[in-house]
Amino acid sequence: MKKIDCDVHVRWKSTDELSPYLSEPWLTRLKQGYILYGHNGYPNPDGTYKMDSFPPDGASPGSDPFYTAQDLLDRYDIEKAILIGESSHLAVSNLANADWAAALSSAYNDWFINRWFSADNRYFGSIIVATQDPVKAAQEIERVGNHPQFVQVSLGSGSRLPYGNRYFYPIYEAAEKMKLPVAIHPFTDGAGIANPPSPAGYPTYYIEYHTLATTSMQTHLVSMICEGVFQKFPNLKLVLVEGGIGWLPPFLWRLDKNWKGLRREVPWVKQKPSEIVSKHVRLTTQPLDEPENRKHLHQLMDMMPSDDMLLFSSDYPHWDFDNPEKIFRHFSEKLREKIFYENAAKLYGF
Amino acid sequence: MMPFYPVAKITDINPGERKIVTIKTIEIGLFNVEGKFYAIHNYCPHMGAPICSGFINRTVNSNSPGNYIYGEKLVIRCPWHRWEFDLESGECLIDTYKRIKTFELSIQDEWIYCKL
Repeated sequence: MKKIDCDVHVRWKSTDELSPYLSEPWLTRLKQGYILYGHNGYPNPDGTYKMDSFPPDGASPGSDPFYTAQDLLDRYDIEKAILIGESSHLAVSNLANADWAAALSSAYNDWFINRWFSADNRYFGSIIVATQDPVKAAQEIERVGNHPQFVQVSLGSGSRLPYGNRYFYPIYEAAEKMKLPVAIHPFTDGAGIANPPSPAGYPTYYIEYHTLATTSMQTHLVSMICEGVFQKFPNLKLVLVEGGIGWLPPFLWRLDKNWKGLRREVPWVKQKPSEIVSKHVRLTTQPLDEPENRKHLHQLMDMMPSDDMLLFSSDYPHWDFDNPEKIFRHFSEKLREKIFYENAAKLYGF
Repeated sequence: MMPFYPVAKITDINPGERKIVTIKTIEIGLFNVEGKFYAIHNYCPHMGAPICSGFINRTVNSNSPGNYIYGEKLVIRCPWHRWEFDLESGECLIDTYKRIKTFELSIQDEWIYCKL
């Protein structure tokens, strides 16, 4: 079965790989080891990577385009991979210095093109933008958005404001103009200048941080719906990456119910939120929920607003990788085809 | 043919006011809004709230975030969950399958008559 993997993480072997894409004064800062991202403070105590994903030369997993192609794309018959960078790339939006962040995000995007896209035409990517200056972010989207292998704009979940706020309009305007979905990826919450990783503050352990990734997804999603982002930008699509899927149906029941009584407060929300989500929002599947009773996963699929919403992702080369040969085996052939390929192909225009 | 029942004198319900009456065990809210009388069943089809104690407003709509268009239709908003119903037709604004029963009124000789 053909597959599109909608969440593949890549990084550099050394920050020297960024040097060709930075000019002064930033190049000197890079060489002096200046801060590259705000750290979220929640490392996996056993490391981030699946242990068999190290390239033969011992470099970091996901740092060798040719090895990733062999170890992921060839091995699992993946036709296209949507590269997201690492959370540390996305956490460029959590640096205090907006100009350094904008310069770094441009360097990342040029690095994607030259290091990854040129290595294998199965690689597609996500434009990294620094949200501290949304106008500069929009300029960056327009600068590289015409490259045929950039297929979306990516934001980290860590933010100082929920993403429905009008502050972010320039980013959505540019993304819509360039016909690029906007993706939100978790694990930058609490990093640098971002807000804490949960509304109640800072948890203690990585297991808490990882589990709570759903909460910032919910915050951004309810914000984008209620602030009318999809009314203002009717062709905009949103992809929630690696933020879980199981929470969505009951979350929409709650929001739909509230909308029936509180619609008047947000009159630009003219459709039920679940209908807006069905039209505008897609979710990647990894880490797929694993209820002990298999029937519950089927019931969850039945509760989703539509079969068009889910996009397969492996999260290669991270420790919580979903093996495409093992997941969805009990789903119908038709649903598997949609999740593994058709939904993503339609979204990204493949 | 269903009969009309005298339910109140028009002087009993001043502009902007309401009165709850009971005809054959059916509670009916009478409203005097913007120069016209309305009668609706005092029962919200959502959760059974006594809807006639709710807010009388006009609708709020919008063309874009931050833009408010006030006043297209008169609505009664449930005192419990704030669902909005068209005061004229009884239709729920967000779910037209749900509606409050409305009653026809007739005014003769200073009296309001309600048709069951």
